[in-house]
Parts: sequence; structure tokens; C-alpha cells
Amino acid sequence: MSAGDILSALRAGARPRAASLWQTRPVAEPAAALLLALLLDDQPRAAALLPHVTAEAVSDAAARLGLPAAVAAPDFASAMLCFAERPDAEALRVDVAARLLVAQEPALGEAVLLPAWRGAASSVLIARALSGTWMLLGRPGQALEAARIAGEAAPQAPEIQAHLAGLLLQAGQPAAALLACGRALGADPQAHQALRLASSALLELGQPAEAIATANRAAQLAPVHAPHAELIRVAHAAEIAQPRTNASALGASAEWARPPSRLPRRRPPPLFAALRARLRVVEALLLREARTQFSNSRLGYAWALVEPMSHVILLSVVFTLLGRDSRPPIGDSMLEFYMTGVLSFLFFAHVTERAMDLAHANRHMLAVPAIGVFDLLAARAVLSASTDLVVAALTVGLLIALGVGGLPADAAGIVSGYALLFGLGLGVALVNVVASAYSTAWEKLWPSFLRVQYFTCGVFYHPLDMPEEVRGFVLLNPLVHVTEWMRQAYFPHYVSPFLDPEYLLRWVVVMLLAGSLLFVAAQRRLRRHG
Amino acid sequence: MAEPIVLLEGVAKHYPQAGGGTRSILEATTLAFPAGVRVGILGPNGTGKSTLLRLIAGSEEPDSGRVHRFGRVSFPLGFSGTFHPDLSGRENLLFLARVYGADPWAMVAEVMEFTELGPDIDAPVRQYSSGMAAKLAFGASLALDFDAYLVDEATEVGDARFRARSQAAFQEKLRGAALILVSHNSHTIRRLCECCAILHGGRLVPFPTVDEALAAYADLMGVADA
Repeated sequence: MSAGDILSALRAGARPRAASLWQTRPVAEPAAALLLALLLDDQPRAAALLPHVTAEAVSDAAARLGLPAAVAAPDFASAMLCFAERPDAEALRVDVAARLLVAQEPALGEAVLLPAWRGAASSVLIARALSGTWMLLGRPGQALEAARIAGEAAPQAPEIQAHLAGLLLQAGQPAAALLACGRALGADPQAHQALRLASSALLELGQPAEAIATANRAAQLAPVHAPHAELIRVAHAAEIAQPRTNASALGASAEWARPPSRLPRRRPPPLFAALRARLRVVEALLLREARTQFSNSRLGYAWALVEPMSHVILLSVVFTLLGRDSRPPIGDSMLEFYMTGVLSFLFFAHVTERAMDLAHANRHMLAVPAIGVFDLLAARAVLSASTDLVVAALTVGLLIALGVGGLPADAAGIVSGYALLFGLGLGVALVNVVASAYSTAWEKLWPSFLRVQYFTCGVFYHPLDMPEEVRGFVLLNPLVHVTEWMRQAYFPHYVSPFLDPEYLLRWVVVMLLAGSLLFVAAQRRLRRHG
Repeated sequence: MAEPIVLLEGVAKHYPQAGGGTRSILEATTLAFPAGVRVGILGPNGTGKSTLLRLIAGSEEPDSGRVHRFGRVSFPLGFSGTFHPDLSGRENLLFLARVYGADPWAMVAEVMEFTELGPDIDAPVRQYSSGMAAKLAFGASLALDFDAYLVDEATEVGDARFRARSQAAFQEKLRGAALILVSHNSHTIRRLCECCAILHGGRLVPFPTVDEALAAYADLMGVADA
């Protein structure tokens, strides 16, 4: 019977084997199949089976599969069905897992919880539940790791801190356990389990008097702890009169290094002051970068000034030689048409490229703890943007001096266009900082990707010139919309038939959100990389 | 018990080793550094004392656990790595002052007086000798106010006269502030510290008194030598 085989594979912790059996040997009976689909996190199957299964059928199937009586009970079956209906609801998942633990099926509980485990990013509920499960499965290392994650996420939850303290004590870290107990008691002074654990920790730290007092207090709050207190009193009362002398040389401990049983309250700085401190750091970095970015070569400085103009001239020469029609799609001059595309493209390219390798190249500066990777990125992005804006203004001025084109028709449009483009660039730059910290290949990939973008974002053509099938694809590129936005704002009577501001705005918001999330998730790695 | 200025909570750090495997710098350690107390950390060379200091400063993140700081904690003192070689000494000082929110011009004046660099302050740092750069870095960290100073046994820079001056300035600064000093030299620890811990084999072990720590350290080194 394949259902039985799958179940025993899961019980033995052989998840891949269970999954392959599940794929190759279909389980005909719907209720048994639903049970297994839930244990294997096959949500589509579970959803398909759900309408054909009743709670009684689930109970029967569980009994037939030889699951313990608690699992075959009706309330468990209805918990299973609730979970099947809403597989995203963590509380329902944990409810099912907890019932499996109570029924002495920790391996199955783990199977239910594991799909929701996200390592350090796991939710408190899942981390706490898995920590308990792993404890039952006899894996204290993993249990402690999960408890730590839960503890970091919920420093105010007494139960979670007490659980963490218990595991820390087992792992031989009484000082850390005492801190966790302190947190639990800070949130709830009546947390007797934390008091009991604290007394054990104090004992191991060589403070019998405090240990006895704490154990007594725990016993006062909850009679269950009375035997524990009695034991400590009897065994260690003598030590108080005669303090232990230092045992071994490297096993010493000292009063001064003992952590307080309760953390001092840290007053978070007021938001405004914190913001001002960040701004100060970014400003300092900005001044430093501005002063040094071209210090290695005067050529770099000159190149920054003439880069857009060189693109415009090169494009004109190449397309003249290719014999392309010299009438521009918009305006009077090809030079003007190219310029309106080149300026915004380079702005984007520079902001995103200069974010590469930020953490590694500035690792010395990151040794100053007051400076963060985000400060470096912000300073560099702002500097890149302002340099490019000045160069853009000079380029437009130069063309005007040559008798080509004029000032933008809609200055507000240009400003808002650049604001959107900066948002898009910053979002991509955040992604690039993280990606280049994980893979050096990204530093080469992104510039090549940008070179492809040069051909697809409409620097030297107008979407109208494209065949209709190709145009559909090209218009998916947000940079095409940027180019169109800039041209619509620059040329007096041009209204773009393709510009979709809402589409562009959506890209900006999504990139900024995705970039920030990635960046926050990779904080530790970025700093370590530095 | 004094309030802590820095608290290590289950802090662990490992480095990947060439040829696979990892080397443990610090195994899950919980330890408090009390405010206003001068603590020395003794350890043989290459045990990761500098890494420990960077973890405390926040220049580096631990693999697991947390470092709590309850006040302004300095970067490792005498650290000249932030200096940009193309900028002058003055510009580098202005940068640090801006980052830490100190009065930039007062800071430059103070460091100028302390280091006696003179017109060299306006030369690019790349032209400085290593001694000059160290002087500048030391002066810069002394000109900023911290609640805890982290020192990587680098107080011994410059000639005898400068050393005497920096000793005096340092003692003055330390009044009321905490010190965390890492060193492999027991004399430095005895001269400057009130408490001592030993870092050895990934374990950071505090001792009740400096004398006990030094005795244990002598034993340890004797064993290591044998």
C-alpha cells in the first residue's frame, strides 16, 4: 500500500523518498491522499481533493493508516481541513503541527512546519514551533538556532525567551540563558518558568545565594517548582557560607564580566535626531566623494563632461554613414533627438553602475561603525545624479550655442521625469549592491545588460519606427517610457502615443521596494563582505 | 554591579580557513564590559584579538549572537584605514568630525596642537610616513568623545616625547570613560587596566583580578611553549 510507504518514509525523516513515491505511486483514496498532500506540502493536490473529503473520512483514513488515536480524533480532522483550506495561514499550520507533536509524531510535525521555515527570516511562530519539534527529535543544535531566531524576533515574549533560556542552559551557556530569563521577566515579572531557569543559570555561574532566592520565588509563584527549590536549597546552602575558590585556570569567572540579569533600558534616539545623524554621515561622504572621484585622473573629469556629447556625435556619424533618413522623428535635428535619449540613459546607467562593489571597495571606511553601506550608496547615488544633471545642462547649453534645439518646453515634466528615473535607478542600485556582494560575475553582467538596453530603450529610434509585433515587447521596457517622458517634456508640441506614466510609476515603486527588501535581508552579508 | 557599556550576548565568530574548514575566533560568548572600567584582553598573537575588537566596535558582524552597546563606542583607536590617501590630513579630519557630529574646526585645531604636524596637515596623506599617519589617527580618535575607547595595542607610536604626551592625553580622556584594550603584552595590561580577560582558543575568559589573569596567562604561554 503506497500511502503506508509514504507515511513511513516521512516518519523516518526521508522526505525526498516520500516525495518521489508520492509522484510515482498515486494514492487512490481521497481522504488518505489529502492527509499525505498536506504532510508533503502539495498544495494544488490538497486544494483539488478538498471538496471530495469530509472530516469523518479523514479520521477513518488516519485510523486505517495506523496513526495514533489522537490523530484519528474528529477535532484533529477538522484542524487538518481548516489548514487545507488556507495553507498560507501560519496559525493553522502550527495548530496541526502541535497536535502531531502531542500525538508523539514529531517527524510528521516537522514535515508540516518545514515548508514555512525561512531560516533567519522565519516568523516567530514557525521558529518557535520548529525549535520545539527539533528538541523532541533530539537535535539540540538546530533547536537552539531556531529558538535564537524566535528570540531575536520577539524579545518581549516571556514564553519564547524562557524556551530559549532552557536550550541555552542545555548548551552550556548559562550567562546567555540568564539574559534571556531577564528578558522574559522584564516582560512578565510573574514568569515562573523563567525564574526557575534563572536559578539554574545562577547556580552554574557560581552564585548560589541568588540561585536559592530565585528558586524560592519561582516556588512561591507556582508550586510545581517547589521540589526544584528544595533541591537547590539542600545542595547549595553550604556553599554560601564557604564560597568556592577558583577551580581551574581557564575556567575562571569574574564578578565584573557578569551580565546584568536585566538589560539596561536603551533609550532609542528620537527619530529626528537619528535622521539628522544619518544625513550628517551622508553629507560627509558626499563631500569626500565629490572631492576624490576624479582625483586619479583629469581625463576622467573631462570624459564625464563630454560623454553625452560624444554619444550624440557618434550616433550621428554612424547613422549618416549607414545612409539613414536624416529627418528626425521629432523636432528639427537628429542631434537634438539623440541628445534627449542619451542624457536620461546615461543618468540611469551611471547611478546603477556606480553602486557595484560598493561594500568591498569601501571596506576600510566600513570599519568605522558609524558609516553604513546605505550611507555609501546614498552619497554615491546623489553625487552621480547631481554630476549628471550638471553635465546634462551643459550639453543642452552647448547644443543651443551651436544653434540646435532650445530649452525644454515643459521644465516641470523634465524635473518629474528625472525624479522618477532616480527612483528607478536607486531601486536597481540597491539590487546591484546586494547582487555584486554575492557574485563577482554580476559586476560584468550588469554593464553588458546596460549595453543591450542602449539598443532597446529608444535612444536612437522612435517606437513608431518599429514593426508592431516588436513594439509590443519594446514597450515593456520601463526605460522606453522614460525616454518618451523626457521627449514629451522637451519637445514643444510632441505628445507621446505610447507613454504610460502609470506603468512607469509601478516599475519605480516595485524596484524600490524589492531593492530595499533585498538590501535589508543582506545587511549582515554586506557588512561581513566589507 | 556596574552598568555595562558593551554586552556580548552569545556572540560567535568563525573565519573560513584556506583549504576548507573554519577557524573559530570566538565561540558563543556572553560577557559584560562595565561602564567606566578599564578592561584588558590578553591573548597570544593570531588568536583573533583584533577581530574581537572589530566585533565590539561594530565594524564587523558576528555569525550569531548580538553585541549590545549602551553608549558611544569608538572605532579601534589609532586606526588609519579610513584616511583617503588623496585627501590632505585636514580634509580627512574634517570628514571624521562630520561623521561623528563633532565641531570640525575645533577638532582640527585640537589635533594640530596635539600632533604638531604643522604645515604637513595640508599635504595629501599618501605623502605621510607611517608614523605620521598613526599620529594623525591617534590624535583624531582622542579628539572625539566616546564612552568607551577600543585600543589595539597601538598606543606606542612616535618618538619618546610624543609617547609621553599621548600617554598623558590618553589618561586624561579616559577619566570616566571605559577602555577595552587588546594586547599580547602583559606589561601594557598591568599599566593600564583594572580587569583582565584572556582570549584563547575561541574562549574569552574573565578573571577576578589582573594578577590572577597574568598568572594564568604565564602558565598558558609556558604550556604553549613547552
